[in-house]
Amino acid sequence: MDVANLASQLNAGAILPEGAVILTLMVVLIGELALGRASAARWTPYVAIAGLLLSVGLLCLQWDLTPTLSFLGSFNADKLSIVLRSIIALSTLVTILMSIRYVEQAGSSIGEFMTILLSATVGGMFLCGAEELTMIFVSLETLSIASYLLTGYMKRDPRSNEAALKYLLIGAASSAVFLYGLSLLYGLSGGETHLSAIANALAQGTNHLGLLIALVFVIAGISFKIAAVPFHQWTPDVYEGAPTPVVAFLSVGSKAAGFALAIRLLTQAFPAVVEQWQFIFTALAILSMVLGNVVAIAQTSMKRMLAYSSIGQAGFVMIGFVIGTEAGYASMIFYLLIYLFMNLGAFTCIILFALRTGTDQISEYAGLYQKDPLLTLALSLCLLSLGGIPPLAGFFGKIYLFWAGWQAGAYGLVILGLVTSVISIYYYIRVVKMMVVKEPQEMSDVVLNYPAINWTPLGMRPLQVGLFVTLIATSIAGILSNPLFTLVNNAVVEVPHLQTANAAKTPMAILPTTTPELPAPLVSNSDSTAL
Amino acid sequence: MTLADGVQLVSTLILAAMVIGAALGVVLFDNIVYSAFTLGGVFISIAGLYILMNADFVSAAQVLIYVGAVNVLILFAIMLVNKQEVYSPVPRRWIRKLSAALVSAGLFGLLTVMLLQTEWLPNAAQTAPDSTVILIGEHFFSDYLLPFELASILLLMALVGAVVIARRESIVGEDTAIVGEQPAPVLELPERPREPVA
Amino acid sequence: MILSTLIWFPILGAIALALVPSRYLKWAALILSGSILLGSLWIAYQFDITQPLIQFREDLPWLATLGLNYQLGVDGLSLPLIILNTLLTWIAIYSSPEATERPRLFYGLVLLISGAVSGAFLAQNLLLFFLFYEIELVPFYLLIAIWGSEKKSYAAMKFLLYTAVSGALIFVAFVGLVWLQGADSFAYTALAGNTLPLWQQLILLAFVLIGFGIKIPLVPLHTWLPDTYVAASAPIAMLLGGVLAKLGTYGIFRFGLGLFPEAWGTLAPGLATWATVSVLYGATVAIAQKDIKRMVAYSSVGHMGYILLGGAALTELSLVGAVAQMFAHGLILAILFHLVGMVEAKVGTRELDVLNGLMNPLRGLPLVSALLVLGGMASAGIPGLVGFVSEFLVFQGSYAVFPLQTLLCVVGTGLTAVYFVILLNRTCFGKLDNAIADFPKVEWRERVPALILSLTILFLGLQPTWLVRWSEASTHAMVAVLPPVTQVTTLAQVLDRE
Repeated sequence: MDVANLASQLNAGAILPEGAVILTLMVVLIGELALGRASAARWTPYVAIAGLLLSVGLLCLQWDLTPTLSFLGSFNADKLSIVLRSIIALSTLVTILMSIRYVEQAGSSIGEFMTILLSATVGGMFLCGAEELTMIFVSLETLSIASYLLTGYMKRDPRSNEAALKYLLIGAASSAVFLYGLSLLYGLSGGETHLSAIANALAQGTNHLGLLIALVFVIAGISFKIAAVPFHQWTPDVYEGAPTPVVAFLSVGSKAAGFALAIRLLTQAFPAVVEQWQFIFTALAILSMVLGNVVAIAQTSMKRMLAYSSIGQAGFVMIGFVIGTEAGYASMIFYLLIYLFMNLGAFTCIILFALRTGTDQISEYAGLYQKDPLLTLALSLCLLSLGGIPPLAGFFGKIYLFWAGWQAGAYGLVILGLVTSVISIYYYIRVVKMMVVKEPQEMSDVVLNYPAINWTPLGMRPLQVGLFVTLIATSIAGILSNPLFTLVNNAVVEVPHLQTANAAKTPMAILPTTTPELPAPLVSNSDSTAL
Repeated sequence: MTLADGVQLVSTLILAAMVIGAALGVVLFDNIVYSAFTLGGVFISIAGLYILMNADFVSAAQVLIYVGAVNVLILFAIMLVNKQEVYSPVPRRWIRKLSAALVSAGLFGLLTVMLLQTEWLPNAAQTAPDSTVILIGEHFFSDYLLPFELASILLLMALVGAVVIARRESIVGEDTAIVGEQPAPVLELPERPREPVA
Repeated sequence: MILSTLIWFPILGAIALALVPSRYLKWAALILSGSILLGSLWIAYQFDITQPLIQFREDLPWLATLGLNYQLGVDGLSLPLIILNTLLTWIAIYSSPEATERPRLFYGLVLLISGAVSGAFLAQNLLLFFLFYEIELVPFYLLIAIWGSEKKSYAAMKFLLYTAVSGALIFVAFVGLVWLQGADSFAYTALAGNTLPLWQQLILLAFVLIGFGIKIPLVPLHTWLPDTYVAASAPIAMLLGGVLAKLGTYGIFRFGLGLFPEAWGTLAPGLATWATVSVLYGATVAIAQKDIKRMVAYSSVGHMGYILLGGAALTELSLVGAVAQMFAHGLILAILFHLVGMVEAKVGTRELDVLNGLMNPLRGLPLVSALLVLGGMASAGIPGLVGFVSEFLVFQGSYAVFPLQTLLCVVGTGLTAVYFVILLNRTCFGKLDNAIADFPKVEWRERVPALILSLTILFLGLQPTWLVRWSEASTHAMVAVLPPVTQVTTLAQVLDRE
């Protein structure tokens, strides 16, 4: 195999977007080394933003290319991966916008912060397209280790240290379990590492127990990444102790990467046990929705509340995942996209508030309406969107999810989703009430001493831009969701293994449905009574 | 069974016993230095297992990296910290110990059953290669190129992260930053810690 | 286009209020709401009353994947409610005190609600209706929580949670219907003639009934109502009782009766009984109240029962009566809340035991009291006023079908008269205690809303055609599409009795 031949087989153009991020990372790192921290801090964030924009642009250009496996099957640049990689790149983009001022105010180096964040992004983006076990594990570890480092970035703060240590220990344990699961897959398939080859090898075997154990171990690793109950124990402490922009990234980018991994690995390598993994994820979804939303009610700290709410939101996303229909996957990815904007918008707001007042207690938001209407408006809209109030984006995201779930016959999940949405409205509106309803005399001390609004210090403008971008996206992405949803739907339709996951399930439907164009329902027993 | 097979079997058994014995030592020794040394024993025994499986390069790497670097690092860390702490006995500790033992035993049983039940597919390439180094190198530069290159990013990031965490921060930057109206110490969260709930 | 204007003009206006200088805020809000009132009247003028179908259709593709399209239209059922909504919005804005705190937010939210409620009445797509139905949730929450009186926070949260649950139930019903029907769109027309088996219809109808029953509210789903109505300030209570409750009754008619006529026919006797229970319960509990605002609030529970009764009876006359009752109840409740609010503002209490002799021509509040008497009479169904027309139509239409329930409801009207007599007797008549009779003067401009409302009540009471002509064609069509089974049973019952 000579070099030229190899190079032509690699199809290296598929990873150009990741290449752009890596290049940016290098420029930022070397630029800061060469020019010193103070002078580099003025331009490196913009380089990083430009690099991420370039990466998203390259992803858009790849949209129309015929998807081919690149790097001899290591990486799959199909439309599904393009959408998910864009979500991760965008989440990093917004995270950088909000972190410049935050890191600057903490007196730390933005260049190093962004270097680690960008490598996390590279890991997440590769994870979205990874088709091979080694690639999956290396990219997952890149993402995870970068996340541990970022969590402990405020190293003089004991909370940050505690969070990092907890995250590291639990994360390492879950990685080990995940790796064990992968090694079982490798063994069961007779030494295959490519997902499709594994699926082929497993289709012939009858090693049910081994496959199930591999499945459980793999799901344990994935659930840790997406913080599904009961693998969520790290979330509240890590979210409280980590720097807020990092929390934002963990709750959106890292979670999107986890879902990307789940879609690819479970649908592709485990078609033999579709019912089992859908059953496990149904249980995870139920637990996440209930526990996340119920415990969020009791929180007094904004970061902790968003931590639990993000667990609940992951539960909603899992509805789209477990039903296993095209519409389900599409609405799940669409919800992730919407969730990106509304959740990052909320985080931008609480960062702004924390920077101005030095607190994130919900009770301290009392009467903010009087002092900072813009922040109040933005945070209210983002939270209401998370709660699913129309006409904000979150409402449409949930409607897509629930409609897809209902069409697939997952009535119980959809009704539970509706009930927990109502619960979530309660705790989101509590914050809105704190900010908007409280009268001037009930204003909290920090709001009374609220500093004059000043957008001039370094990093405030990007924060403002991030605020407006997420706010506008949250307001109109739902109303104008048709093109977005079509896009996501196209991405899902063109992925063959999502159809195979579907086809494997069809025999479960005992009776023909009255609606041939609708996918076969998941719950066949309730279906037989319904028709 | 030929002589070679018999030697292989006996060596495997001896090495497995060494792994298990050393691993028990890691867990059961009260003195953490002993634990660290027995951990080295675990690594070396595993390296022996690799040799039995014709994976000479992996075995060498195992000794070099895990014994030579990781384990030594652990020992250094123990020596540098060297803090004697008397743990107060936790009441009802036996419940935790018992439940941990039960879970572990259950997992062990499950995995054993699975290992025995499964018909493991033999690897297609049965013949031992001439040189594993060449084979690994070929893989690194063909079908495992992308993870191999990504690992370099991982290492670079880990390096930067290690420097960031280990660096003495007071040399660069000023000591306080402005949070809200009050000066706040650098490298801490801007959010004030919560008041302990009375 | 004109229908969209009714929705988007107030919503965009609400946003535009952010730019209006504070001095002109109320004027701007009044002009905005006045123009949508004129717009709705213009629609009424253009409306072809002989045409039973949806008119002024608008249909734009929106989210085809969801089956959610921007489909609007108006018929005889929704037209009166649209006018009611725009009228009460204007009155609510007009009657809000000059010294309203945070006027920008207040007027903005009221306008937003007006647009959303119009949207819900106009929507010809189930999901679009649901969207508008949910939009008013948070604005109402804020209106109650910020500008309410005592216990406002609790009341607002209760309102929010009840309404959110109601929304969830309705959503389940809609999604279930579309899925069972196998339709690829939530368009109303596509679903109206569904051919589902009866038991499926019954389940879906139960969701619709409970969902909207919370909103109306019907006993025993009404527990949020007294707290919320009492905590809300007078203009907001007007909107809550006058407009928001109508979303519930409209929803039951449009999506319960309209979509599941067969199941509705099966459940009709039960619904009539439910209505009767509501009527009697509302009236009896109102008698026991010591707080005039609470009394008016409970009177609303009773009056909503008549609407359900009219719907359950399913005769042309009773349906016309029910639609008329929606409109009449909106007017009457608005005037009562307005006057009660004014009494509270001037006298400083709402306690029946304290209030006395307000009719006193010199030192009391004579005009307010007189109008209160008029409102009470209208509410109790005294002939010559709008309440009588609608209640009479409902009773006359339903008697043939459900004689017992109708008679009990007539008893309910009698009880209504009882508590209004108690209310009026205590508040307006008797000797005014000179020690407390030092009320601020009632300005002329404060009387305007009550005068407008009472003139409308009087006019429509004397000229009822103007009230019922809009909905006659539509209700006729509604009854006509009913499956023959129901009609035969009702006819048989009628013949038996004669």
